Amino acid sequence: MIHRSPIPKLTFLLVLVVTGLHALVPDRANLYFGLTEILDGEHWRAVSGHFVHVDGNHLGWNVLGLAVLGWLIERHSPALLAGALIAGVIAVNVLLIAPWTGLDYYCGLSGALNALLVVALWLEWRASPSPWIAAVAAACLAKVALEILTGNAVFSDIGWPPFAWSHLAGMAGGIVLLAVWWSSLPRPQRCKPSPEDV
Amino acid sequence: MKTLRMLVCGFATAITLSLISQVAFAAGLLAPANSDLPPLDIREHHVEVVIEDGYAITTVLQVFDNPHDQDLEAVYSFPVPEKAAVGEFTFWIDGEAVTGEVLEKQRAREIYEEEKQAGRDAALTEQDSYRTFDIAVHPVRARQDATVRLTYIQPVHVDTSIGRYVYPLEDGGVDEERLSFWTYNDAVTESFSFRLIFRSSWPVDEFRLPQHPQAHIVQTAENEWQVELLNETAGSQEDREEGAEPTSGSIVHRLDQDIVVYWRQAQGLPASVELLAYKEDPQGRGTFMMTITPGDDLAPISGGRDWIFVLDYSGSMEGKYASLVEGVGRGLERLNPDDRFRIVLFNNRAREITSGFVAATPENVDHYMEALLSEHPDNGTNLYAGLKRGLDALDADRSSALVLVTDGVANVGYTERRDFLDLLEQHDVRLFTFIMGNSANRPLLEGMAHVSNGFAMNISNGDDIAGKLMEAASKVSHQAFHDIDVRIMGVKTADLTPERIGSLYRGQQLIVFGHYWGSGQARVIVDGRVSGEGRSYSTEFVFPETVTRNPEVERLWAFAKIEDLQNRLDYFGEGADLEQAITDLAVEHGLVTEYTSMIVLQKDRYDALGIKRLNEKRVEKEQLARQQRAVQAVRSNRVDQGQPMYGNQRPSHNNGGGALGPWLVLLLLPLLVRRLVADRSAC
Repeated sequence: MIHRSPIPKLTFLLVLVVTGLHALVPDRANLYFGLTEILDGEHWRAVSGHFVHVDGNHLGWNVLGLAVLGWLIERHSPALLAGALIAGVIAVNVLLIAPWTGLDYYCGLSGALNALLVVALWLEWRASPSPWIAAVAAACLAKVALEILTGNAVFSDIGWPPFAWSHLAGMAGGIVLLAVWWSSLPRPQRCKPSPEDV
Repeated sequence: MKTLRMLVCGFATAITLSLISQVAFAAGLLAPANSDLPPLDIREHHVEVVIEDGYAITTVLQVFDNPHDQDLEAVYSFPVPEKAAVGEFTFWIDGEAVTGEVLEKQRAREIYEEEKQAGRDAALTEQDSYRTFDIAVHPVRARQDATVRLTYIQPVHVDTSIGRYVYPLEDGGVDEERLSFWTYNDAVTESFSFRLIFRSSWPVDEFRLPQHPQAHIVQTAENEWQVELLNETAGSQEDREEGAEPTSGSIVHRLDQDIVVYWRQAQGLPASVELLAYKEDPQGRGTFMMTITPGDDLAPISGGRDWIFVLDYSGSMEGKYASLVEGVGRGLERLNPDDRFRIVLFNNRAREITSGFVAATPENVDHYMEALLSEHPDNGTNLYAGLKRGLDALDADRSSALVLVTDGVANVGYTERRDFLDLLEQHDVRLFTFIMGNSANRPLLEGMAHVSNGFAMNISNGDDIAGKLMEAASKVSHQAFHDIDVRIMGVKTADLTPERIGSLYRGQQLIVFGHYWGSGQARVIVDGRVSGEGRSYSTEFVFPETVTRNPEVERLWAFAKIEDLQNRLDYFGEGADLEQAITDLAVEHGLVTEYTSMIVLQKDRYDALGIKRLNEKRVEKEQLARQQRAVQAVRSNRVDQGQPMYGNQRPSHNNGGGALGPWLVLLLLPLLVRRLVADRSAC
């Protein structure tokens, strides 16, 4: 079912929260994802780290991406948007607690947004398959691959080193969510042919 | 570890907020306040920085303009850059560049005044203690301009894989007498440029100028970067209430904001030992600079502690104080139940607002925050009294740390550095000093931190809060390497400096200068203690027989040696021998210090006054070397590849983030447009 509400409320709220955290919380370092602190009891960091940003540049592009992707998904289902965001956050967190990651701190929404990206592309493909969508999906994958291989962010400049693996984790989160969602959809009953049909 | 990190976070935030809120004073042309003399203009201000081989060479070229009908004297003042050795000062006389010579300070001033009286061209660069370098030029002829060029060198430190260079321009506004006597003209009227060329064999991922996002940053070659700022838009004249305004109309830049440049090394680089040497004569004496970048082998620490905050609330803290209190509050709110705190305030006198150590409960924190907020900064700065009160409050049975936050200069009570060092040596406590702005008594504050095996952190208005926060937090939350001793065997060495290395915190580099004779394989051993247990690192490498690529190493060694001598002088009090030793070293190596100045005269006047052109020869040699290096490939100075001193990587902050960036957002646009069009069709 498609919701054509004039205002995508959840998306609007999320944009407000992310922007508000940046504007109103001067000591954002206490909100970054940091495994040591989380294990010390600061559990909020496991979530808040995804919603705070290093600087205006970091925030700006992520908020723009959130607005576009959020709108694309929320018009189908606000619940799916919330689910995609949660899946993205969980997937990135799983990556961040992996021993080989070795990061002291992580912040930013971009990892989780990649889950939204996967869901949005899938929804668009379902609505009307088009080479455009395949091309965008391929380009997004290429971007992440390039970032992982080179260690540099593509056309973005933030105060921290890029951690492109989080984008891949976010994508994986989106795929898992779609798989779960797809499998939970009611299957159409296969009707036995009636004697009249025979 | 969590507590330490949080506390430091709070402080770093508070300091940055307070720096932002303070009134900015600047580098600029000085004119006596309430004087009838018309002001001069800074027509051009060009800065060229070359960072290569572990040190920075900064060249500042300025053109002063006199639009009036009488000859005038130009006096330009700017904050002393960190560990900067001014070794080159050039004044254009009758269109010809003349290089300065270093003389004993008093003599240089007398000669300058005599030349001025005689109507001859002269220029003088003096150092006003740790505060400013002052350039005087006479005359700037009526309706003409005068051009001067100043060059200084300084070692460049990389901390936790982040390099930092600061071109200081802001004055902290702590010297009230000076500020009331002079007016500052910080406006550049015609042309401004800042160009930094960075060459390094260590790969760099990114450059960043937090306060200058408009900077043009390009990687010009595999190992070379260029950062450029050109004719920035300056604030409107209406915005300014302080200082003299330029006499000509336009302003292209104001010299009122530090330019801070960061670069981030690639992650996963190995720990290393680098050697830079200069030795012309195979049989003679060579000079070396050895940079040790330790591996990441200092473990995290944990456990409850006592925290004593010693906070400056003198008059110069007006406008910064409220933010500072907010930061203290944020730090205190995050203390562990095992932690206790005391708060000492000082201006003319010191007093404790806590009654002994108090537990860090929310009620106590709220109570003392209110008490702090009810205070009003005023009066002078009795730093000694504040520090003594804080140290007297120590509990010998518990692990303690003292956090000192100040922007200023001790000017009440005991003010001699020796007194402070004596005081600190009597106590077993680490002092973490946050030095705000460019005008604080850096030598004193750094000296105290050094004696206590703590660390001092300089924070500029231009610094990136997140970066400084990570840096400080990483240090206090890890073990430190104490009582360090460096031994070099196999090659004859002497005059090693610093004489006492003290401690190294996580991410810090160790830079040792010295002289050597002969050449060949040497074994370098670095001993020290970590958490009371001995630890030793060693490697072997070759000291070269001759090498002439970096003649600046001699000046860097001399500057470091002068710092050592100055430390000794401060510690043992007045000593004519030490002052003479500093003067002799500075004259031999052409360095401006508290005891020596650099003077430029008409060429024939050097001979007439019996001044040898020692510095002219040194400058020629260095300029030639610079030209040669500029066309040569970037060179690695690492010498421990064969036998690494450390078996692991150098520390880095290991942070990560990611932005979608314009690239991905552009990719989403077709989807958005497609969806909007489809929706419209459906309607």
